[in-house]
Amino acid sequence: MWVVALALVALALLPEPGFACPVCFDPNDEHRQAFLATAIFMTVLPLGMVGGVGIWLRKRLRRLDDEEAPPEPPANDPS
Amino acid sequence: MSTDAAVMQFEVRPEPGPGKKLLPDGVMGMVIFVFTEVMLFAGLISAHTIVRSRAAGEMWPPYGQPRLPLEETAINTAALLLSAVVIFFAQRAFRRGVGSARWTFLASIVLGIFFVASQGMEWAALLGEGLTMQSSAYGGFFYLIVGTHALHAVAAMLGMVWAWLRMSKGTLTQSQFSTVQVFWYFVVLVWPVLYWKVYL
Amino acid sequence: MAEAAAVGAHEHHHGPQGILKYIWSTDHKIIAMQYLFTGMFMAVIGGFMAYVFRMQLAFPGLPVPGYGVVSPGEYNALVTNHGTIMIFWVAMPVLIAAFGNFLIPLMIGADDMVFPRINRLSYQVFLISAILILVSLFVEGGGFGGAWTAYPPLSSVSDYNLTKLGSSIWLVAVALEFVAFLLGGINFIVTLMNARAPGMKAYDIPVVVWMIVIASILFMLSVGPLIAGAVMLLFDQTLGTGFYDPTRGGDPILWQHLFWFFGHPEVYVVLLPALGITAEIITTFSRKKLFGYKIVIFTAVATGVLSFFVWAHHQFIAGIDPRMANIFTVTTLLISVPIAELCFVYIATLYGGSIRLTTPMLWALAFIGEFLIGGVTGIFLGASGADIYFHDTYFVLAHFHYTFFPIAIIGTFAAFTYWFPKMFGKMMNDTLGKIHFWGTIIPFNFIFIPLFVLGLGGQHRRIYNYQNFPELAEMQPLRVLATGALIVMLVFQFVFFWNMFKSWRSGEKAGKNPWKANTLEWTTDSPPPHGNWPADDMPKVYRGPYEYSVPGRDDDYWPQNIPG
Ligand code: HEM
Ligand SMILES: [Cu+2]
Repeated sequence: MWVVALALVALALLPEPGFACPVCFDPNDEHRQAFLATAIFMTVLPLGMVGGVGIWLRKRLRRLDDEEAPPEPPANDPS
Repeated sequence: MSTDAAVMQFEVRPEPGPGKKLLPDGVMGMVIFVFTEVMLFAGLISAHTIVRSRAAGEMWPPYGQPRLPLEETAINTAALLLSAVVIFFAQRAFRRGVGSARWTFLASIVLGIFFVASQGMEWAALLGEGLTMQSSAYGGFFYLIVGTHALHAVAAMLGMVWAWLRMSKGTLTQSQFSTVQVFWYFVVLVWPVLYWKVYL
Repeated sequence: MAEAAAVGAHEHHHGPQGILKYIWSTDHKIIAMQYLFTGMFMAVIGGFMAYVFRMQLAFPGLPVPGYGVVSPGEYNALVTNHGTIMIFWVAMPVLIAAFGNFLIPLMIGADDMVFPRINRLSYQVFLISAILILVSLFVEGGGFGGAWTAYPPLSSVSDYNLTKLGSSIWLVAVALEFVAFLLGGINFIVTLMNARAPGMKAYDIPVVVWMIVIASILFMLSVGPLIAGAVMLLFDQTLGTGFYDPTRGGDPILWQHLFWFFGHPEVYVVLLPALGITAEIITTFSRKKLFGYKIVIFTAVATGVLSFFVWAHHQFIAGIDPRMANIFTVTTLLISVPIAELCFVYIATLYGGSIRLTTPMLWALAFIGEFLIGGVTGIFLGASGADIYFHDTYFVLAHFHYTFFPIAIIGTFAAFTYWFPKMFGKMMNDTLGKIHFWGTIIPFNFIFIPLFVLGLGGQHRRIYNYQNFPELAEMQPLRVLATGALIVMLVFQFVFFWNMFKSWRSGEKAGKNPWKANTLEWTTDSPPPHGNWPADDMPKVYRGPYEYSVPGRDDDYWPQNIPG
């Protein structure tokens, strides 16, 4: 996990800007940043929503289980 | 390992009871639908952000385009938020079977209708001032985003009126009420974000 | 007895009678059939389009038998609509809508979807969208020809695409299709959550049901921005707004941003159901427990999460910031890990099993083998440096056909041959099935391997006639080879249709459980009655779906609904 995170950060930071590179700079940097920011926004939003609901449903399931049944012995997982 | 032992590996489950629902069908379906809607608005807002950033350093709203009425809309926003608070109490009353639930619910509907109507008047005024979908990207996004929201608000109003009529007849179920309520919360809560991005 | 049960099952719903029963039904099985046969019909049309434009590429300018001379505009319309139809009107309706509708209630022991009327509406909207896309081909100016990705300004300005009406109808059709799947997706998710048979816990759900539902969730979460983008595009086309027009403050790259945000999750939307189908088939025909059930589910979820992080790999040369491209290269390479892992899991399931090479099993094995090629070539494309060369060449085209063909065609044939006995109560002919299998798989490779070579040679996509490029014209034999193989493959499809028709008319009776499989759909009659099981005898679940060859049992299978 950490290796991946580190690799990601390194890859994001290490490349030197090439001055012959037509797309590395935007006279309007805000525009470049807007793409980046909305990319992050649109990606994180659905995952956050589903993650949140997933966690909430799990909790609710636990609560419903506790209310109904006496605690079961932990299911032994065949796999 | 003996055969018996191998079989014993498998948990022997007690006779299953009836399945249980985490959330009523309608509410669950509406929540999922709302997720899609949230993403629709996320797309619109992102598009707006990107196009607006192109105009960085220039005027936004562009030269010659009318300003949006901040104050009137702020009042509308307040009415809308209030409506969500009111429907919350309506739901509590409805759950306890209090008769006044009907009137609380009606109040929240009226607040919603007030919002839709005054937004409509605002549109009429802006069109008169020359802000159209074609006049600039600014105008285009204004009508696109606010119009999409207005469509949702109208749909929600129709749903709430339907629910109110059923409530009056006494045939409205708790889960139907919650289904409509979830959608209304979505319409209300997405609005401040739009107000912030489009108006401010 | 049977009558009494039927009456019990019918109590809750009195459908219309006669022929209307089939077009106005809320029964999930009938809706599944509607989706299935509409999808097959569209596949025939898409296949015919492929035949026409491949003939044009192999024999440029000559009249195509059964069509005539292909004009450049028609060529563009054909490739565009071939892609659109195959993805949105074949892969999605068949894999997700048809098999989802058929399998989810049956496999989780429910009598129907939780929202049957929304389900019916979903198909009706879908049907309208299918009619619209076909109509768009024949309106004035012809069908839309701006590629299935519909990049503006080509798609937004009618002076450029010359198909003012065609492109708007195309767009509306696609948008309606999304609405249909939204309605269907809500149904799938809620049904799985709320209508499972008593005793069916999360890890007792068959993998294919999990996969279809995860795919539906992915779809629901990713489609919003595209709908937003499509509305903006439609306004640009019809109302004269300038959302994508840079001269008026708009931004054409914005469309790619919104399109691919949906576009990449979409490929996993179709991939996951196909992976689920293979899991069912492989376990049944190797008589083994699925290797690592939970691993499969978690991997699918992880793939779903990752699929939101890779979409900019379609834009590597669209002028995006190369620092951003780096990040997307890494995520793209990462996402091949879970996919490779699933392939290993399936191979591990096969290992040491008693494998029966029935027709569905052949399809399932072929799926794994062929999809691997698609996945591996995706890694080449995912490297942002290499992609500068590969982008928009036939290498990309061959890549995604090596992914989509296994998914949409091989996966569908696997599922169809496997569940045919359940759907129609008859067995399919195995010999004809195998002839069809080999007659499809071998030509398939002969179509697309040459296209990899052409792509490496620099052949760009979406070109009407390569004779005008001296260094590409030389490679004409490869193009002819690909076209020839395509025709062979299409001809072999008649074997399939013949087999389907003949088995349906006069096949051997299937019985409840011809494959001796464990999942719940095999515990009811074939075809299942309305309501799926007698209302007073709905199944209960006592164990997971893959308990094959359990030591100490006489049978080598152990259906989920048998206590103890
Ligand atoms: C192993 C995982 C995969 C990787 C790493 C991968 C990578 C890529 C990359 C980088 C491209 C862009 C190439 C370019 O336009 O220059 C691409 C294109 C494409 N891929 Fe994949 N891919 C993978 C799996 C899939 C799957 C499963 C599908 C379909 C179900 C698929 C369908 C497509 C399509 C349709 C395109 C072309 C889109 C277009 O430009 O028309 N890919 N892939
Ligand atoms: Cu992709």
